[in-house]
Amino acid sequence: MRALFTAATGMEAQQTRIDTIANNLANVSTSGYKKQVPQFEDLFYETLAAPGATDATGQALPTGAQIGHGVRLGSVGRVHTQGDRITTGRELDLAVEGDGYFQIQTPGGETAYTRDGAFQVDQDGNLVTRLGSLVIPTINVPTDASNITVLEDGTVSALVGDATSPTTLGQLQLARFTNAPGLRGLGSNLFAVSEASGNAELGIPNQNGFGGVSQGFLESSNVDMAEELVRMILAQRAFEVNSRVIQASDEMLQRASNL
Amino acid sequence: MTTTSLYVSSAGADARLKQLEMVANNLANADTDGFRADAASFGRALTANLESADAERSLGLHVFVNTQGPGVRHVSGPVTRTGGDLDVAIDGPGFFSVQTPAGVRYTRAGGFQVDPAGQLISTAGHPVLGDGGPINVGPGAARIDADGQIVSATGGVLGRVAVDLFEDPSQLSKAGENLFEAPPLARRQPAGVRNLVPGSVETSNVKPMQELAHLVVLQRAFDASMEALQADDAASNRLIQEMNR
Repeated sequence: MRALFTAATGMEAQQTRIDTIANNLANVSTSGYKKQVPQFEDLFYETLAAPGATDATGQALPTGAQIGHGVRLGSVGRVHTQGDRITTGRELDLAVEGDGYFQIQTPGGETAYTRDGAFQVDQDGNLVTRLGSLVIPTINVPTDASNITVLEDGTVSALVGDATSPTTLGQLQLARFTNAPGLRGLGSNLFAVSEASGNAELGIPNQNGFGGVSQGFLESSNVDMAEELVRMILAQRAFEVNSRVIQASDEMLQRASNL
Repeated sequence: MTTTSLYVSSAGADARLKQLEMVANNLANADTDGFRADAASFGRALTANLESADAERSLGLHVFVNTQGPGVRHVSGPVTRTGGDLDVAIDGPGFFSVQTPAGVRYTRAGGFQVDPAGQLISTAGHPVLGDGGPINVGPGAARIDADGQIVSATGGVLGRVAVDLFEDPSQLSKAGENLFEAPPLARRQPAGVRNLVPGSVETSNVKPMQELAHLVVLQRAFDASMEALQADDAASNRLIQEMNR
């Protein structure tokens, strides 16, 4: 009874939909989070009659008859649209406006990428993420530095000591990817290069299509709560109708076997 | 009472099982971008069988195929905004074409991506075809506009997706992976007249409530076929007993 398995694939698909919605909603206020959207594909078809075939009476069928075997998960892509810009006023909170990711060195020594620009200064004076991973290229902020300014092109400067004119401390770089939705999520607001994303291409913010850096802002999650809730209701209904098919198949089978 | 009625009832029951499989596939794909529902109504084919003078021969037909009604329902599904730069929906008729190992296939699922080599691909990973074959998008952000042009972040045009039209979409057959296979009848839409919705995808055109209604009706019809089978069986049973007396 193919319908039973077909309906089961439908229920499984909706379960995956609900799983991604749950994760999106859980991260509705995670800075730099990019929502995930599953995409589904229909499975192969059994062709019972090809379009244009002739039936036993010699009449050509204007349409064919094909029976499909259900659905499978095609991909769970990330939607890399810009999240809202939230004012924090903190001088080390940075948001990227446009294409590009900050580069981070993970404790394991690998390079990771993030849109979450909530940076801090560690005990050595280096610019680090919330979790203490180094920002690349390394920017060292002297202990006596004040009035740190980050320009749109990523130039970081500060007043050092009693100086009245700012000293340039370094320049931030951004990385971009041929296929950003193909980045691998590492958790902790970090992404890693994958075979699907292509290698990172580095550049100066606000140049050659790279986004600019905004100081005093954080990029919030791009999850749209209303949209997710609507999708959740749709997924729930779709799950129910698929389970109704299982019930119908079962009843019909029972009826046939009770003959 | 003849054996014909037994065959007719069982063919009816079999038709409902096929219809059930179609409904199941439609509902399983209620959330599949670009999916188009299959439709079949069997009433007519069954009536023809019952009325046929040569019923046993005509029972050899695929009774479930309705020669009057539609096969695949080629009406557009709802266009949903996604915000994806490379997501695009076709407003009106036509299909995107993709290059698969088995040849050119057609799809309404416009959630496109870029592969690591920089080529525009469908969700299933097949290169999307433009006016001059596969489209190289290269590195960096790009978006598709309402005319199908792929525009880079710096404003350069990198290519344009093609839309293929069919005089009669019912000639298409389904190939899985949201793809349709076509006889070589496609007519490519001339450049500049494309009507695309950027940042959106066309979702499945399955109407769950309608499918549920079909489900209830086909279940009742199946029950009726089963009743008829039982009645036939009881009648032949009685006949045999009478003859043995």
